[in-house]
Amino acid sequence: MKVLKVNVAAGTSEVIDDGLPEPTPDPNYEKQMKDGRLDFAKLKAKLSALGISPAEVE
Amino acid sequence: MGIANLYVPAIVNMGFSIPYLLSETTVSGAAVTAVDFSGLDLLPGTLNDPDKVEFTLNILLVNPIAAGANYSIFVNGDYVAGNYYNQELNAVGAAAGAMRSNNANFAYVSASSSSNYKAFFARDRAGRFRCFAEGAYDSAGSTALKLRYTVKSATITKITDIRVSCDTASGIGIGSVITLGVARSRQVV
Repeated sequence: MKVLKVNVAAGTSEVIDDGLPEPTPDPNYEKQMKDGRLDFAKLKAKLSALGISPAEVE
Repeated sequence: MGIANLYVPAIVNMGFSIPYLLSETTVSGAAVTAVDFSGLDLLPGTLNDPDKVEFTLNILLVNPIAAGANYSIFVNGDYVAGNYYNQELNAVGAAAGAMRSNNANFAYVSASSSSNYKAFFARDRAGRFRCFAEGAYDSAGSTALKLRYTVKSATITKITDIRVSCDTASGIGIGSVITLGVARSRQVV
């Protein structure tokens, strides 16, 4: 893995290969992030369509 | 690789209580996968007292990858993602979501874009490394908000070094700027 190493105490820096493998991104992250969302504007619209005032659940 | 690295020890003994700059690092020349800050336990005076110091990270992350990328924060050379957890909140327009993941993610940047994040990290009184980060990222051309709280499961005795790492190779692009500072000295908690 290509790493920029900064030694704060010494005030030095260098780019190295630390020998660790390059990481692999999680292919499901963005889908999980979207699946977990609740759209409150749409929820209010659905409630209104069902005859429920959004104010009743706020 | 042009790097501006700033460390100013002259005011260490002033009993600081305002944000205090330790290092400002700019990635140039070529993208990297991670940026390490070491020697934090070698700073003088109260700067390295694990019970009194809270660090700050102000970050401009440039994601050169043609896909969204997560960024992790690792402490003391423990780069095993499964040793960390994070809880996140996302807000995109009128939609909001929450998620908990078994990894050290603390920031996210959309494909081929850049984002600013502000983070605080410290060792809490129970000995756990904790990091709170807030930032915004691009979501289909609109601004989205992300809050994340990242914790390492095992306790630590002090913070010796920090790694900011992308989950994609060379995901910290040219122009990324990471500023490390001290938020405050926690004389009274």
